[in-house]
Amino acid sequence: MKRVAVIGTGQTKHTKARDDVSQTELVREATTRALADAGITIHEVDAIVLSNMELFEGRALPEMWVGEGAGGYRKPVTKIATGGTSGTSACIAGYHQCASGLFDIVLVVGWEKHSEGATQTGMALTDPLWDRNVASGAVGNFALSISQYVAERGVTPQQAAKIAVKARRNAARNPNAHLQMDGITVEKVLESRMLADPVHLLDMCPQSDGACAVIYAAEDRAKKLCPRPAWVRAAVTRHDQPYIGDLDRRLVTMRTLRDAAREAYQRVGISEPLKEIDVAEIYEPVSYAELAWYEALGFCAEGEAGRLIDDGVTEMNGELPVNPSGGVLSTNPVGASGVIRVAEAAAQVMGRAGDHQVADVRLALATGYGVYAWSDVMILSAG
Amino acid sequence: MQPINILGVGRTDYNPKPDISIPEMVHRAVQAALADAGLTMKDVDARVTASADLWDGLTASNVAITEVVGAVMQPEARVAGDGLLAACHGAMSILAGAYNVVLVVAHCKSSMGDSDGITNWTFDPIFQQPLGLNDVAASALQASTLSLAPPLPCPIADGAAAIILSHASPLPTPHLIGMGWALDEHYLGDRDLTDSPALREAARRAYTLADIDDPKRDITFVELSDQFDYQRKLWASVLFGKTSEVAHTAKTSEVSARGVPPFVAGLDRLIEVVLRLRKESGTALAHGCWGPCGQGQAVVVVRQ
Repeated sequence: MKRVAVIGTGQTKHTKARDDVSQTELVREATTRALADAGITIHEVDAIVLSNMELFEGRALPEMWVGEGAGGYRKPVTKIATGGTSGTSACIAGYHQCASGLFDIVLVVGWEKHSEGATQTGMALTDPLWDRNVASGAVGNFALSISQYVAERGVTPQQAAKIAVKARRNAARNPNAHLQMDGITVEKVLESRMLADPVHLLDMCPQSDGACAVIYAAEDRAKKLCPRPAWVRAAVTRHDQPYIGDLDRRLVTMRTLRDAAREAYQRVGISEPLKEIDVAEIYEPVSYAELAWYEALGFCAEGEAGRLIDDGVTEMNGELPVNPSGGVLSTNPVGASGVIRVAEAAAQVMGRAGDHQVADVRLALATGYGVYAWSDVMILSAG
Repeated sequence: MQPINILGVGRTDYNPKPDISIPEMVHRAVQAALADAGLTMKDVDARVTASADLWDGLTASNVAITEVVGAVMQPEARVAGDGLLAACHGAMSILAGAYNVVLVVAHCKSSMGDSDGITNWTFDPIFQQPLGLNDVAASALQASTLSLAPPLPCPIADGAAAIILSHASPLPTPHLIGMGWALDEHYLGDRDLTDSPALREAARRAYTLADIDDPKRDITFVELSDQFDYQRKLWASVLFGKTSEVAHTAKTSEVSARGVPPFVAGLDRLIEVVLRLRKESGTALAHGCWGPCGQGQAVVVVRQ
């Protein structure tokens, strides 16, 4: 396996509706910024991996139309789509393509333009015999699992609201983030409209228009092109049962994330993730999920996630800052959201995260979450 | 590139299957491939699946087949494109050292959908989709530029195909020695529809990896994705040159991809190649394409 590193990233400004650009132009914006960040031209890109959930915009094979925005004309283009994990799965696919030795430089671009479609309709297109009637869409099925998680772990609405506040405060330092809510407080989260008990409006992620690109280079090129590349150390995927009813205690166990993290930590040699990882960009579609992911990722013992946020351990100035970018709770163009996690983790390692840069990052974690409980884990490092 | 062994292949027939679901259909192809390879699902490290959401009427259409491809608590990547592209990606993940044994599966149940309506949504929504273009209309346009008769619509076809790839094999097996794929221009008005630069580029990449200097000499036989009649002649001329078109059309199998579901056809071509190479030695080419007038093109070279 060739060593591979991220040498550049680029994002659009994420927002509710980018009426001024097409999907192709949106992808071109992120691509152009990533190329500039990497200091290369599109002619140096050997292959392209795209990520998008086409039914959110009601398209068929959107890469046919949008691919040229990523410079895909006459180049090898592969589109990966696995629900919410599309972006991280595309990043893992791009990593594999680069590590295969067939390509020196691989561009990964994820995008979503929710304003052009009906996301809830797209999410309702689940199994037509069973799940479509009972568990379609993110809010309802999350509320089911969260209720079980709250009952078993005893986390409180206040602790979940602290996660929501942390995300939006971090987003205020990220000019690309969609939600900009400087004055957000725990009280405001708890006073926001109840969507499905116990999930309030401000506990949930938004729907965003946006694109994000990551550029990988094989070792020789990476060393020449980037003073501080973000080396890929582990990339692990786990999928799970396709029916919500078969996922007993989903958030409590989150077995896909737990198992993927275990394998990734083993590959890198991490035994105490809270101490050894410097920053984490994790895919948290709802505030309660971040608490559950803390346990699955081994940041704390089972039942200790609430204490972690109470003690400020995952705040910007804490022991392990989680989602300095503002996370999915602040920005969520689904096909891009996983790519954003990897791009933000890489930018932290490369020292290019701007106002939300964490000091002295050597080891960064990025995760993806999709469908009912699919997980991706990537670990990037400075060396 | 390091050769990748093709340990097993399996597929369903491609008749409409109103009596079985997508997972049941995929299960049959997967089990056939495992049996052919003499493996069980426990031997598989990862999967690459190929399907299209709008054809399946499902968001993240691989959700429906998670169990039957053995992806519960296991790695899977899903390519939204032709199965031959999924095979290329599976081979790359092996070359990357990520996995030893990879199952590649493609499926489509076109009897469930409205082909004309779905393929109309493949065109950009600003200029081409409003014209009412779909796969058949676009192919008729391409056929007319070649002075060939308008194509008949593809028959409704349902089915799945599966192969198993590995970096190692206890027995001599056909092995993948070259692969390439590329996207062409999207706007039909910007394309020379009598040509396919994407296919030429895909083939160039595959030949380079396979150390093939003269494809006319070195390729023993070819399996083309010719869902429309006129495509066989076009793809053959792009791969081997117009002057030798007749000779190399003769090298193509009598077995047409017409009647094989979209997204399955390329993997089906690869299976045809593997089955023939088990009986005779040689170097063969499998071709896949997807999108309007073959906008996406993939080529795999296999040797026994």
